[in-house]
Amino acid sequence: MLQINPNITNFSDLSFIFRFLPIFLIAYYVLPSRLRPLILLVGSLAFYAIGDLNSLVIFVAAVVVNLIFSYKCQAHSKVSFTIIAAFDVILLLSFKFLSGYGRIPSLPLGISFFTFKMISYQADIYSGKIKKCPGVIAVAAYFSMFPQLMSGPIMRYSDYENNRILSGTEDRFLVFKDRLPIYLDKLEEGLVYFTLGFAMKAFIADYLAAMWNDIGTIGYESISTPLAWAGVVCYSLNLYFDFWGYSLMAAGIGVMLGFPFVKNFDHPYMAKTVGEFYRRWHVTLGMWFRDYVYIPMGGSRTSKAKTIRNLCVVWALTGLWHGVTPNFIIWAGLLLVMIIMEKFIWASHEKLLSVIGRIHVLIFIPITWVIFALPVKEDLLNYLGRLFPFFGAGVSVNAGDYIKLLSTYYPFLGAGLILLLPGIYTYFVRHRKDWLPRALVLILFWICAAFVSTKAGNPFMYVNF
Amino acid sequence: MGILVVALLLTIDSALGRNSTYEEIEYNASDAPLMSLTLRNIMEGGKPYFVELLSGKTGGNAQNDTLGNSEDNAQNSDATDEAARKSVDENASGDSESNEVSAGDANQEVSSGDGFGVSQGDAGDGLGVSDGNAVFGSEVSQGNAGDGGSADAEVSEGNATEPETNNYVMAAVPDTYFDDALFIGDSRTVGLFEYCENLNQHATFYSKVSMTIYGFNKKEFVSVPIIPAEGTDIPVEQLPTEKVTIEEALTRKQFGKIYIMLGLNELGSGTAESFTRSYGEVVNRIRELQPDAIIIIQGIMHVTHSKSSKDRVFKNSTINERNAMLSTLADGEHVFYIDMNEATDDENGALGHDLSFDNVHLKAKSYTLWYDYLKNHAFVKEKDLEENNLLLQQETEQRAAENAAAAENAQ
Repeated sequence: MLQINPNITNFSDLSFIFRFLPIFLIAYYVLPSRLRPLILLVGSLAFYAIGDLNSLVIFVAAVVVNLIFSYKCQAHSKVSFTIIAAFDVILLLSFKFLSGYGRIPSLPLGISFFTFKMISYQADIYSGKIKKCPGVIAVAAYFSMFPQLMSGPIMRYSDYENNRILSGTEDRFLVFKDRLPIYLDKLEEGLVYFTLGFAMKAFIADYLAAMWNDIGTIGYESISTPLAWAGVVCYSLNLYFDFWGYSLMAAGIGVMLGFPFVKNFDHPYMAKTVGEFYRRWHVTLGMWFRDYVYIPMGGSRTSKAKTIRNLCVVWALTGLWHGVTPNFIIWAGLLLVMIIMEKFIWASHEKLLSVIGRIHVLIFIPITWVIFALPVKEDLLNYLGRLFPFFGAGVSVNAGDYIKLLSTYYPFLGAGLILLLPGIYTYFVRHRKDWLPRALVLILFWICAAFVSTKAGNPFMYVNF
Repeated sequence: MGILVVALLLTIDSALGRNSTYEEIEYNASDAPLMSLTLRNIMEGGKPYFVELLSGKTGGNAQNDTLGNSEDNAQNSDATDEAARKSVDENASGDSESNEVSAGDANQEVSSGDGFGVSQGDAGDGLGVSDGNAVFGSEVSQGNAGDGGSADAEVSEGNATEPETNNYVMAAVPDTYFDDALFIGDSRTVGLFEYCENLNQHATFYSKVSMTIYGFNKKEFVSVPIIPAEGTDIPVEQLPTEKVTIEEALTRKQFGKIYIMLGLNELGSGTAESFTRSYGEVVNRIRELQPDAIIIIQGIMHVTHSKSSKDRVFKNSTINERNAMLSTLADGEHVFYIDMNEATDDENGALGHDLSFDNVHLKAKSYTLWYDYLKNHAFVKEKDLEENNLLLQQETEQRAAENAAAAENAQ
């Protein structure tokens, strides 16, 4: 029997790109258009089953329970909405705690993302934003759609609905000859985003992950201080391009299926304050917290004290969402402090804010990523000790280690730093229909494929959250 | 559209070339699409089947082949070596069950491209970074004049008159024992050099990331002074250097002890027998080139239990099998076998989990375990034992004094 490679669920693995995706796309576009939601649902469930068969039961149960409750929410039953929201939150939290304290080896695939989609759907239908339950298959396909199953982006139902291919309204009455250009246009546009994300993952993130791994191999207690700082840059860029790359690939696949492009990153390191950084970083998560937590609690429209309270709640939840180990709480706490200071202390001096805000974004945020990266207390203390060596010397430190690692990885760090600036990415997106960027993207795609062909599929980092 | 066309071309190319150009690449249909054959071949410096077919028709096949080889010397020069590397890659791409494993392998992939070495504080405290393939501790020949040198002189005298005095016994030794020692190895030995100051101030290292026993006379990475033309009179230190193989380097300079630890990168290729045979050939060749040196074969260091239980290739059972075979190469006279795993094993007979981050290499602070093992399991000539013990005692006293002074300073 032919074994199915579990890497097929990894967007940057060749078996996903050349096996799962083409087979799915052919089924999606060639079979009758009214079957599309069903194909999306079946394909996504198959995708989930390959990725994490053991958790399929949990996922399907969550989908079914949410579907049942969605009809109650449609009737604006406050009790039902409270119950189902609590159900989703408890489901997510209990698995977070189980895996955070090592009771289960890993989280069920995508649980952090699909539960959030479910809550947003229930809230939208309860508040009447979604007028009427759109049908079991359509909603189940929305919860499970494979491009966003693993690590988001957390797309809203309104965007899902806004897909004229999926609903068939765009091409239902066209003959095949006229349909084909529409399909190819969607596919090519999606592939541009997909390839840009693929390149970030294959050329930058994977190599920086290797560098971060090399730093761990030395041991955090034995790295030199310059290497510790290089490591801060390395991990920050690694996380950024891994997740941005993933988001672009996921959104690109979405575009291929006719969905609108979902923006998840907007050059966060160009931000002037921490608050702005997190409006540009993992945008769909930030918007989710804004729309379903912060604003319902009153946002910043009421008193100062209430604003601070609301911010505290949002950031406590953001920390918990990433993980229940103390490092995530510290990470979120530091960000909260910076945001509150920006909002209430520095904001009165415009010049001061512009300087301090940049320092926050370019120096303090990278340091917070290290806290984010190291859940084990000893590792974190060792790392911080090397970062700020006045706490004492390290153990068997080779003072030249950073030269060795930088001489291997400088092209990838350099490329990452250049791509922090918006120029290149914006050029490709703005001119994505011209022939030159398309030709470049084609070449880029095959170079990435060749690179990826020689190595193991490196999973995306946000799969762990 | 373009992507579709190219994908089709590549798949046809892979399908047609599967039994000819790509036959050396192991392929497992469940791991990757067929076209990955062509892509991987290109990445490894080869040419796609079609290109080869075309150039074959125009009659330039043989010529093109040599061209291809010279473009990518390190990779194509040795079929066995290449096969070894490929199977490691293959393992990496197939190894999908465990995330940490694939991360580690990807890392190996990166570093194997160009092994960089930092050579630190050999002559003084200055930082020297040798780019490319590093050879470490080239200054040792000068430092040699001390104890090591005089001991050597005695040996040759002894050899002439009464050869039976060459009985070696295992003993603990001082750091200076390693003044005329050479370490040959892969990335793990590179780590020993980088993170064991007490050793790298004394010994010489011919070690390189992803080194294998097959690379002994193939990989040119040891930088040595060039051989000056007859009659020129330039001091050795001022000569330009060149990159040569370990075999060539061993013809230029003599050592007293040669330590080898190789075999991890070879685990995926050949059998224990074929590996030991190749290893034995290398040992014999070193004996020819360095008749006065003793050779210490180090058993391959284990990997951690979690790696061993998940990985298809890097298994401690395979390592143990090969170590057992390697130990038979020792003759107890000139060639010895030691197994440093005693110093780093946990209760599973695997590399201790806390000692390693990537499950294969020691952490920086763990290298002292290896070095202490080497210091306590060295081979000393019976007649030199007394002198050795004296030196060791001096070193111990000196260390104690230094520590006491440091403690006093701290207060």
